[in-house]
Amino acid sequence: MKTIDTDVLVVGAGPGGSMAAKFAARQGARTLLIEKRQEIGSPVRCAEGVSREWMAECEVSEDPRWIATRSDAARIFAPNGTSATIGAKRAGNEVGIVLERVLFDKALAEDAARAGADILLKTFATNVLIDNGVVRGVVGKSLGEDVEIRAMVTIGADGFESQVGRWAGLRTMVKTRDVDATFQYRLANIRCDARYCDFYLGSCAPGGYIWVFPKSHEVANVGIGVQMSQLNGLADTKAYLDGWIASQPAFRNGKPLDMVAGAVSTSRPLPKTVTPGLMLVGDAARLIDPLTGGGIVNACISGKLAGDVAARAWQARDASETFLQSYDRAWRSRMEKKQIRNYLAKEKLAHLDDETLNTLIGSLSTLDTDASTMSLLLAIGKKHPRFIAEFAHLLWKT
Amino acid sequence: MIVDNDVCVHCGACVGICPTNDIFLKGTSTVVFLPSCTQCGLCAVICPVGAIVGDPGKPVPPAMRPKAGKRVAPRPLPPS
Repeated sequence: MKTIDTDVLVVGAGPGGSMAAKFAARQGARTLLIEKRQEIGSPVRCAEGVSREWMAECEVSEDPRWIATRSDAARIFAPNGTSATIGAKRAGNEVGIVLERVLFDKALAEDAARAGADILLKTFATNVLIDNGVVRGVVGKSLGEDVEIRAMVTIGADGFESQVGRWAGLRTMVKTRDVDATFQYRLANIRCDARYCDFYLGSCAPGGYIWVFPKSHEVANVGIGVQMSQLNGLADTKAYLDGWIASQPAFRNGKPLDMVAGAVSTSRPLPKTVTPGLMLVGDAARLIDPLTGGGIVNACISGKLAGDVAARAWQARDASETFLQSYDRAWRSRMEKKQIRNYLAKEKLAHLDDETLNTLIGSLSTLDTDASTMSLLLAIGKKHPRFIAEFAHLLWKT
Repeated sequence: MIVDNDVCVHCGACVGICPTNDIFLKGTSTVVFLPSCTQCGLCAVICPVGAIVGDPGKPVPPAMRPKAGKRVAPRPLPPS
């Protein structure tokens, strides 16, 4: 068996993993980033919409190579076809840029490499190494060869299907109401407005939504997320999307260029994301925005925070849980409040019937796209006092 | 549980939802169920493309049992 020694090991080279590797490596720690696939960024498992505000914080500079389109606003469609437009600034984590993820992920890994991180492809973990209750790396396979990777600090960035956390005893399970099954086509030969990212709510996607994120005016990522607890039969998710596409004149003649499936967690923040020697970031830590299902922004921010803490832990030669707790505290103070608020909003929205959505989105549609939260509330409150009462406890927290 | 690898797109949704950690993606092409699988059926429910079904001869997993009250379309009568 081959043995590799490193200071910081990052499992998974998605955005969160590359970000963690970049920030750990640049502070001098020997950093190894492992990826189970043969190519970083491929196959894509994402709708590719992302906002822009977080990029400066994570030291990512916009590059036309990985930008497919820019969208100024999100349009939210009610089941009856009414739409409300929300400016990108207020629309949350998914609106602003439609990415080329294959190139975006590679660019982030490039940044990590430039900072000094090593990268191993076709290398996956099969278990964690635990010594006296402390995670000390992983065992796995690298290009078919058994390998033992020893590290002072391990960062689990292994996505929704995260195993690293579970092997180390962290409880990362989510309930069926807190998972959406997703399916997406990249459709060509359609008509869409490249200025907008569109969201369709209602019974077309129970507990979730259908999205249309344009790659150009005739190609778009058209996908669906359905709350798992509302699925009844085999391949329901794909069937809901196929049915919807067939009902839309603008998309009916679309032809698929690729097919993406997966699952996203829409849960409350985990009670615990560190254990001695190990930190979880991004989807592995269930840090997806529960309302939009967007994961890239939180993955990058948590990756950065974990990379920083890993480097400091290496400098201090201390990977104890107490030391790594500073990562847990950092992401909580950065995003926990918003995650909880959006979780509660999701819980409400996931069970609204079509009629309620029609009235709600109808009253939003009359407003200015960059209206403040307060003016949105006042407008809705005038027309639908009952709805405001239901949301009141939620909105006080914003 | 049985996976139809011709339908499966290796997205990993089943791996993430498995409550007993009994499913693995082997490399990038095969889905493996460990013998300790409890046949709960959650993987079959979440699978976006419907590539996972219950094992014939084993009890129908609770998560895959039809929900009470779900109507089934009546079969058309054969022409007489």
